[in-house]
Amino acid sequence: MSRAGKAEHPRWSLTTIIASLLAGPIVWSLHFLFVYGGHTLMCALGWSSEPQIIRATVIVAGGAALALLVFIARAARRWRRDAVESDGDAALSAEFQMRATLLLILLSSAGVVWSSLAAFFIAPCQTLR
Amino acid sequence: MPERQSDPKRLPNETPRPPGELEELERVWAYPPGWRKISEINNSLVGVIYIGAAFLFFLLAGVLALIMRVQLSHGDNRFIGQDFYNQIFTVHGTTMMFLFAVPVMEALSVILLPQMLAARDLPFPRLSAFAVWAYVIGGLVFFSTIFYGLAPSGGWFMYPPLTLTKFSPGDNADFWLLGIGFIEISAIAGAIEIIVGLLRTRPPGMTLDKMPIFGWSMLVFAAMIVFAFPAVILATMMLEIERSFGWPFFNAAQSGDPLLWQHLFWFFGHPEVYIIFLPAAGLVSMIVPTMAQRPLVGYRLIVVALIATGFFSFGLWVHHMFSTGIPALSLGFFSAASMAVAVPSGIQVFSWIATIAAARDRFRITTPSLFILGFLFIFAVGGLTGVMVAVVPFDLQAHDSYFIVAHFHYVLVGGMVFPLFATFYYWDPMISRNRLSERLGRYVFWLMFIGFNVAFFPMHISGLLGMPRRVWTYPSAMGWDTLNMTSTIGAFILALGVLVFVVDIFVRFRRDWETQRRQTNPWNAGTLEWLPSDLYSMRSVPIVTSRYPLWDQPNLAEDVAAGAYYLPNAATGRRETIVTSPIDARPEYLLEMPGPGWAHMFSAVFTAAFFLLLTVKAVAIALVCGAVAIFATLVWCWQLDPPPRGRVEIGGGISLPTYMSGPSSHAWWAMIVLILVAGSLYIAFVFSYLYLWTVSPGVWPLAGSSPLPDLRWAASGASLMLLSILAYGMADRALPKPGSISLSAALLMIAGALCLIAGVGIEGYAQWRSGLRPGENSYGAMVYLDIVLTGQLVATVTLMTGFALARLVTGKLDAQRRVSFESAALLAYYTAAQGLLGFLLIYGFPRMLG
Ligand code: HEM
Ligand SMILES: [Cu+2]
Repeated sequence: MSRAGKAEHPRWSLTTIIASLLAGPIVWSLHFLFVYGGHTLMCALGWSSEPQIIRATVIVAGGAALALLVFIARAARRWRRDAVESDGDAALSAEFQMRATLLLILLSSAGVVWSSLAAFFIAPCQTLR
Repeated sequence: MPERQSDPKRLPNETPRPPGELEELERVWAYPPGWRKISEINNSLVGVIYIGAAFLFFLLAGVLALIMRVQLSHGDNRFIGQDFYNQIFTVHGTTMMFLFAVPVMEALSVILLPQMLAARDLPFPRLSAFAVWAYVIGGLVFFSTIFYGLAPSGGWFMYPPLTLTKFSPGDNADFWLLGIGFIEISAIAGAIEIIVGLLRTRPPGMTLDKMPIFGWSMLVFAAMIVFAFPAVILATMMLEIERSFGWPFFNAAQSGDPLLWQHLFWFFGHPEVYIIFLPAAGLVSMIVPTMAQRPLVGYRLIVVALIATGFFSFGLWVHHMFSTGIPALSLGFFSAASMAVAVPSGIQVFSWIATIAAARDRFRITTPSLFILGFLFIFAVGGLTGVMVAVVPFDLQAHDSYFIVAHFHYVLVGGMVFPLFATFYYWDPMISRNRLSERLGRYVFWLMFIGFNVAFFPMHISGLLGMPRRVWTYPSAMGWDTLNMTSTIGAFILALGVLVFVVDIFVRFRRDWETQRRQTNPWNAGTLEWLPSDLYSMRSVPIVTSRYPLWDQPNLAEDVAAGAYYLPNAATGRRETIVTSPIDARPEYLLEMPGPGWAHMFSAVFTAAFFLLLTVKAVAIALVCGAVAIFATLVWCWQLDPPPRGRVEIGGGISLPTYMSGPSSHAWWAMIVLILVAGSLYIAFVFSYLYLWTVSPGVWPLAGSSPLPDLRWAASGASLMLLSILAYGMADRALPKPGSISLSAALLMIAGALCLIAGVGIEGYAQWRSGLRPGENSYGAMVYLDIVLTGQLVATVTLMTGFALARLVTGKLDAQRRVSFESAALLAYYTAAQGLLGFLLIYGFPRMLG
């Protein structure tokens, strides 16, 4: 991206914009789907005798999602630096774009952490009745 | 692509404009005279009908609420009977959620967005007109069932097994499914209009980060509809199929699972709450800055909050199912997500408070601002009780009690009705010659605010005292009488407030249909909808350089009205609007718009008749009506895709093409949105298939089912799907030059459609031959549902292909003018892909299990 000179500032395609804005929330939802679906599945398949495995799976998934979010956040920062060096309207938009992306990643991380915390307190597979 | 005007001080067009130009513009955009106005499709007219209908449903559902409150005012009351009570709470809830809350937001957006974007109109006015008429007719019929004792009584979320034929015989429940079907159609049509409109008809210079917040909120709203509604569409399809043909999706006795309905319903139902709330929040974000006379604090934060809310709200559905026996750890995940969603809502609330606090001079206390302050208070209370019920142990206590009724009314009435009334007062001068009375407005507000709290606050307590929701009466000995009497009195105070508002509307609201005379910017707001405008919207389309152009760009209103900006005329001599690029809003082409007509109206009326008659089992006439509906739709579509008219000047040295096909065209975008809808529907199907497997994971196909058909069937079906992709791809290449007809293109199109038909046909035949029947058990039902889902897409593609063929032979389809083919081909590619996925699932998954 830093190749772009003055005349030709980096153009964000709609797909890039959507992809970067939604990166955080998408990781959050994949993580959510994975822990909810995985837990339900493991219980349905009768793994409830091994609660530690289920618990570990949930916690590891949380860790992995967080790592991924941090990775994306760093990539986004780098990207923004490149964009800001070019000038004009595009830089303004890029600034907006990347800040919003970072904030969304932050919120998504909070969501991931909160979900994972549940695994520390609640035993897998038990119902409340 | 033309460069944007770099110096905004140099105006694109010279003034004064040549004589006759304005008259031409007026002539092109004039409404038809007299009663024929109903054939008009311009959103400025249709939007008003739309909002009027939605408000009517609010009033009607409100009357039902009052009847319920009278019945509940004291114990052992015999004012109305139990069954009738069940019907009215169901119709009240359903009408409020489906016929009022969602449509009213879409109505507002079709009125407000063209103005906020300074577009002549949104890209698909006839589609919205169709959606509105389908909604009005379907909605009225649905509501009127209450007068004949035909109304559904299973509650607005219609849980099976209660709603299966065994426990709900008669057509009542079918009317629910029907009414909802219409809303699904019109909501999705609206979503397409809104998404494409927001991304493609912004004025030059209005980059995404200058878009009014209401635009952002409607973008998230529409995206949520695209992903949430398909879940409930699938659920209603399944329930209707089970009721009519006995395919056991939900019946536990035949290995179905009633909880599957709850999952599908709430996967839609929870986001639905935010689908209602986000637009309202967007409206608040527009009104607050005006009343504070300063820009919104934290524009970017609010955009982030809107997106985050949109996402998180999909992770909440199980919090409506805390007491259904789902494992506690899963509940923990949903509880966590329910708390997470409170954060973005909190961000918005703080942004508004900060804007209010930072007001230039003082925050102006007008009727709209009163409603917004009322909203902040009520919504905060509703949010707090929301966090309470997100705590699982608390919810197990409060579930299905009046505490919940109190909670969701605080959220819904606080979160959307109050902002809506603020909106009515705030934007009324934009469409009416007179303003609503500020003095009466204060009465309306205080009556509604006090009435609301008096009515609903006591319900928290009666709920905690154990009063269950959905009971038609209770013994006086329970000690709930005083609380309930208070609630009833409050409800009537609230109703009085609404009544004063209605009277004021009748007295003061005057819309000038011929010239749309109106007030210009009475609040000194900063956004484009307050530019002077007429039936053709703004005289010329401005270059936008700020988020509050009216505050930051001096002389804007005068220059726009004088025609100094882009497109001050009817350049093609027809209705048209500028289509710009999605991100930085550079003009790309001129979209020629349809004018008034009847085809869409016939289509709506006969679609409604078709479904209604089916519901009451008058099959023969229903089929006739269905045929008429399809014919009318074809007539309507025949007029689409007008011939290219070369390039035209819009000013500032920019000349634009008048025709566009391929990925930059609005038609392509609409098709992509539609495919996203179909894709979400299919994902919901895959989820249901896997879900029913987890109910009995040991045996799949279920014990007693016939064995899976041989893999060779799947292989041949899949090859046919691939072939059809190939055929459409080749047909694309073979489209003839303008003015000629290509036989090979025609044959390839036919081949493509035939391959698709054969592909699903083979699958149906293979399953039937193996002895599997859909009514047997939930496995069989799911297998055949897959065929139904892909089959209906194939039918649509076939129809569209036939249509494209007809255009090909009549010389209306060629390598340049090709949109009708492109749409069919896009859907065909998607259909083939879905078919392939289906083979993978149906043949692969059971084998994978071994
Ligand atoms: C305007 C004043 C309103 C009053 C006095 C009112 C009153 C009521 C009452 C008495 C019930 C029945 C509770 C029960 O028997 O369990 C109810 C249910 C409900 N209300 Fe309202 N309501 C009002 C406005 C609204 C609004 C604006 C909405 C949504 C936008 C709404 C949505 C619902 C829903 C979804 C239900 C649940 C229906 C069911 O249980 O199936 N209400 N309301
Ligand atoms: Cu919810």
